Amino acid sequence: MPSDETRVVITGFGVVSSIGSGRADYLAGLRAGRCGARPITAFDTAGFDHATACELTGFDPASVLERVDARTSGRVAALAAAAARMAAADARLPLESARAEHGLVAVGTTCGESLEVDRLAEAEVADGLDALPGGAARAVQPGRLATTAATELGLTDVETLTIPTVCAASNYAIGYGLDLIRAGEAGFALCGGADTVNRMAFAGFYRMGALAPDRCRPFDRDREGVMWGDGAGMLVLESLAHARRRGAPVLAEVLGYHLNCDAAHPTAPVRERVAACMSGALAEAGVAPAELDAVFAHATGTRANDPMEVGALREVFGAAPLPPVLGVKSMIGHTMGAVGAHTCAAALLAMRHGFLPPTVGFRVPDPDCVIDCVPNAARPADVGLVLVNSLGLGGNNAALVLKEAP
Amino acid sequence: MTAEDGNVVVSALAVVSPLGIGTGPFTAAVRAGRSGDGGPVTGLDADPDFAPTRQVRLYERASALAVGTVAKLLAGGRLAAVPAGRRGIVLGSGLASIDTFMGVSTASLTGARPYHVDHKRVPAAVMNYTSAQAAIKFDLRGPNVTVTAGRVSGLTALGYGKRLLDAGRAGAVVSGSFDELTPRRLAIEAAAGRASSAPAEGCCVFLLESARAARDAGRTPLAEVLSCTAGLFPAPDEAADVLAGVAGRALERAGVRADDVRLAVPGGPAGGPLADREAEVLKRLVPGVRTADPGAVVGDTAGAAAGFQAAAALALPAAGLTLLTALDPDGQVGCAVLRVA
Repeated sequence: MPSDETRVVITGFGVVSSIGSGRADYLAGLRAGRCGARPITAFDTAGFDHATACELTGFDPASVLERVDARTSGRVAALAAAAARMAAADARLPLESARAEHGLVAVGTTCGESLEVDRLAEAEVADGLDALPGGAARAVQPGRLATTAATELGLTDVETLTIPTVCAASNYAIGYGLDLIRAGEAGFALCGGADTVNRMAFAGFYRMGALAPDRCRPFDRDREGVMWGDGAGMLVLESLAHARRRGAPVLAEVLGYHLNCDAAHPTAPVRERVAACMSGALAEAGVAPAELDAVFAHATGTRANDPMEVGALREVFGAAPLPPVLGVKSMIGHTMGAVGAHTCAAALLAMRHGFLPPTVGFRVPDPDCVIDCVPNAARPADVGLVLVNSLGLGGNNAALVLKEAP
Repeated sequence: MTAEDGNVVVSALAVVSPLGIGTGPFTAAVRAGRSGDGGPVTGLDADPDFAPTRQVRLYERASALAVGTVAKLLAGGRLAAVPAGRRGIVLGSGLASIDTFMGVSTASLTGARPYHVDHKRVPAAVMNYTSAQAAIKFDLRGPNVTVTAGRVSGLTALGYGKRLLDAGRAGAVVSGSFDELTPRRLAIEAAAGRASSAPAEGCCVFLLESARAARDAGRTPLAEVLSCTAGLFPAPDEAADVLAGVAGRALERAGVRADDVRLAVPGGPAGGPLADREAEVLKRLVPGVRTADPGAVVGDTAGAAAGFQAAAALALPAAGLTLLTALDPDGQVGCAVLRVA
């Protein structure tokens, strides 16, 4: 049996998203089934026939940052730092004592400091490589997402790393924190991810025909693809004993984690491997699939992903019926490296407030995705045990099992 | 891993550097204490390990470099006895993929339509491309991780790999670091005020497994990985204190005393204030100890640099107990203690 020193719990989170930033606004957004889709402003979209994304509006990272200067840090680093600041406050983590023990700050990402990389590309096109702007050149080191988040909290006795394992990256960061705390190597961990809508990802996926023109509609028969989203999410992890010693609010326990790789194709996921990843997380948690109250699915809303993921779940569940399987990307968009943390935060709120966040934008059931996706409206429910699934380009899979606070 | 499995060990390494393909030229240069001017790796075109295949397209040079180096590491079916689902990989780099990212962005900005980009290159524009390509090529279906922490990335990957093994999440892990030399990288470094006098590219990868797994496979460990620790300095004048703390904890975790250290391999960027501070800390902590300088041998390999530090320790005969220290101008600090055979 694991001891309270090796049981790992989540004691707080910080969320910055297009449907609401901070615990109260994010909760309100999830409950209302808000959708953050709006016309893109991050870059000039002239020439695209459609250009919609779940962009962040009305949130200024400078409003929460105390040490980091958002004007020079880069937008993504500022969002990661803001989410870290909010997470520490949410967990009532006393920074003086956190500074005195060894910790971890791990930030997942897909595109890194993407708007600054796009800015370098613009400078290259305009003036060649000899006149790149120094600020952008300094900001694009992706390792800075994690160092900036740690710097915001004044932490120096921390390992900082950025995990660019694309759309599964948050779950990788959380899993690494889990392992470090279990091993007694870190007293606490701030783990999550950050990304912003950018030209490269938009143009690339537009070219692939993988982007939805107006809304992301997971599991809908007429779904048209992904919708990118902005944001950051960070969770505070610590051992149950550590949380109890400092009287921290425990939101949930991280019961199980698994990561694996398809090792098959750069863009097409492999159902069997996705199923093996989810089964691995459940096995580590010691949980039977039928015990789950909900699956917070990857649910990108592409033609290929959603039936693959439902098929993988059927493989995991065997004869047992599937619980509700929902897709928060329908509300916040695909926030890439942040989406795992965003999804975990949604699951934590679902547990605490007794509801299932909806899959919005849903119109017509798909015979290839026969599930209860909690269509369009949040639903009251007892949510005690959930699976949070994620996968990324390159066949990188990572799944977490979370259990309501003990 | 259980206690009977023993420590995590390095049971193989492969190196590709401006000195040549394969570990031999690097090892010879380190042993002879030769200095080099860095530069590109040459001869990739003539070696099929670095060539694209139908499944593994290697759209970026960095990926070709790294996947080819992993091919050298795993040559002769070295992982054949490890089930595919237990084979992990953790690769670190500083800025790999940024060349392709900027290539896609510039195509979007200059094409007749902003979506006239080569969509096949999009997966290579994000940083996990290389580890994913390696997984496909060598059927590595276990943990597949990409990490980045600037110049410290090689030690970050080593620590992550060790912890995957400690936690029982893999039976064997390929861990390493790589970076490529491109006009865009050089321009970014120059604009950031971080131009190097001897920019270089390369890749070092290590096979990590438990001592017992190595023994069962008939592999003689090259080194035990006793500890990996890390920290962060918010401003350069705090670098020395933070490094001293991180190095001290590395020794403590390893269960050894500073007096026992026989080799120190520093990794601060050459010729700058960070390297001076690192030298001061080492002078205080392990006075008079033998040192190695892989940066002088291969040049400034940026995000690959820390991998070359570990490789240098393995290259020296009877290196013994070794302390690796690495710093990045962005504040990351990493240390590792190896007991080199």
